[in-house]
Amino acid sequence: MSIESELREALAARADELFPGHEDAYARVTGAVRTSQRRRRAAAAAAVATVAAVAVAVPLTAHVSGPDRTTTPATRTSSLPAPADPRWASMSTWPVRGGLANDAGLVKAVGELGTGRVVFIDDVASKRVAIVVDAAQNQIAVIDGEAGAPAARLGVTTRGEAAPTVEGNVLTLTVDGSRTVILTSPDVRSAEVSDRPEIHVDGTVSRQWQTVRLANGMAQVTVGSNVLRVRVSGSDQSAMFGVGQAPGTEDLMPTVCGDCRGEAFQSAMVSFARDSISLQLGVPREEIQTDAVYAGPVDPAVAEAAGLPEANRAGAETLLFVGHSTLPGGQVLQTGQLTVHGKDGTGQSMGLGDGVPIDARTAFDRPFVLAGNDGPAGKSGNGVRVQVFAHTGTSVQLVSTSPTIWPGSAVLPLRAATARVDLSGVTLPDFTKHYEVVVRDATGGELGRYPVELPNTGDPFAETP
Amino acid sequence: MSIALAVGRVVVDSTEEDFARFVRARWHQLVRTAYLLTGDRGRAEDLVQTTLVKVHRRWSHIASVESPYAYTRAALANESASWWRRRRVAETLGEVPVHADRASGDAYAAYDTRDEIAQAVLALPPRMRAVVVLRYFDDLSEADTAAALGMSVGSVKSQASRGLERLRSVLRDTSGAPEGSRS
Repeated sequence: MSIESELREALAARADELFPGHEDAYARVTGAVRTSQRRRRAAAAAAVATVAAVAVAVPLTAHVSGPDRTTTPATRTSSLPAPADPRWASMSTWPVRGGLANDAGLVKAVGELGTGRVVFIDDVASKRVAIVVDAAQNQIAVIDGEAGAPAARLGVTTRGEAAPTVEGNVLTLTVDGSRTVILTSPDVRSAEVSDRPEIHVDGTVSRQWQTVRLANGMAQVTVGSNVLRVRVSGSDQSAMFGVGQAPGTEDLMPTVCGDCRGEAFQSAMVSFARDSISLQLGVPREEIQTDAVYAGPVDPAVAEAAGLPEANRAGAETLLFVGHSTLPGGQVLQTGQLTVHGKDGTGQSMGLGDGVPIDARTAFDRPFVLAGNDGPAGKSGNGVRVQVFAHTGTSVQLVSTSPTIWPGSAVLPLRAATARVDLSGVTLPDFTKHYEVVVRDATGGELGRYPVELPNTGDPFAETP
Repeated sequence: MSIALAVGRVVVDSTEEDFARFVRARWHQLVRTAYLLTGDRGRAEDLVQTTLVKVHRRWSHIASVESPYAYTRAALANESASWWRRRRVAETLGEVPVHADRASGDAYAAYDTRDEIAQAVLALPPRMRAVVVLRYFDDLSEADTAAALGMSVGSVKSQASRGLERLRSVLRDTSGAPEGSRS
């Protein structure tokens, strides 16, 4: 039998596993249509306020509440152990909480689905959500489906490595970008919540924090953006999850185009950057101006060192996108994305900062630095491989704060707005911490000096250290 | 075409009725395709629902095209194939899962092989998977697949060819057959 015939049979057999459901599909779809329309109207009405909210933090509309019962009647969380109970010491032994915690059958089925212990289950906003901790695999799974859905119609939507700080005991789950569940141990009576960042034109970020009371170590807060942050005294935030999209953002789907080259790549990445920022901050896409600062090839050796091992594969094409998105208030956010396109249609993609605020006054002059260890993946090598992309000046130079410990580079002439260098004897952490890029003009004069990595690349909307 | 007929206080929108008929008639068919694209019933239904919500917004236009079903199926495949979502760390795509060991002459071999093929399809990169599903499940021609996914016919051919090669590889590994023993 030919492979095509076997494939046809296999696909048909797999599809035949599905029996037609008994629900009215139209009722289901129109329900979703109404929800979508309601959210779009609400989003349109809130658009003007949203723009202002980016520049000026809006007072948080957080409040302590019980489980969201807008969709499914929920029972109370079953009686919980006392705060001193040793089961609260680790989230891997937390009892189940949430409005559906007493539904033993559902909890059991969801635990099997997520292969672990259910620590939270409830209907929140438009979804039925559960958090399952798999201690054996050190993983946390988020399970979701429509509010009111039986276990058979729930699916694992995210599964992330539980951080080493799992003992830190804070989990947050944002649903539909509108409700956030905060879970911690019951000895913690309050948390601080910041709904939105205040992004300044100089690239710094600040936040206003509001105290939220917790009941049984748990609260739900109403949020207005996907960049809510929660902090609990004495504990690091160990895991943040999100399911669903914020009202009015259903059309936004930031994706990296795997097939795009040339102008199509640039155009797709501009859309990616704009949609991603719109989705995160709630600023209408039309009000964000995104410009490509660089969209083109990268030295495969640098891309490989930076974390994309496929870059050096024969026939692979490695492309870098750096874009600047300007918000209505004049703030500029930088997005970097590195992609490798293999000849066989496979590839890899890696974010290099997604909407990182930078100083708007020097945004265009700021070089972009791509770097990685030249040793085996995950180990310190003999140095770092570096490629600098700069629009202004005729040359660049990498200099450190202590040249005797971390030697600088020679002056590197820019060719096609980029320069390439290896620094031996320097680790990547030292490079990112201690080096700057100096941009020089044709006479060798210094045009500007910039850190090689922005301080808030890992979390663009955290307060800058 | 959208026609709203006012009868007393009752307003009947024939467009909405068309949409309702379309959803009820095609829902299961779309879910079957979505199931092959996602590998999970719940996700498949969510994918179809999301697609139909978007289709509903443009239904007055879509209802007038030659085949609203073909349009919706294309939207479904594209929605599914919106791949390479933003990742903080590198994400490798296209790995074929390790097949299960099986003794020769196993009575369930045919079933297992089909299952492994279906699993291998799920491991294909999303756009390649969409090509394979539309070509070999929905039996679209190369030209129709290309039109549905907004690709060139050449890309469809190469994606399908690579997809088949990967599936051959899975079957070779499964059966232990020498390379080239399958057409």
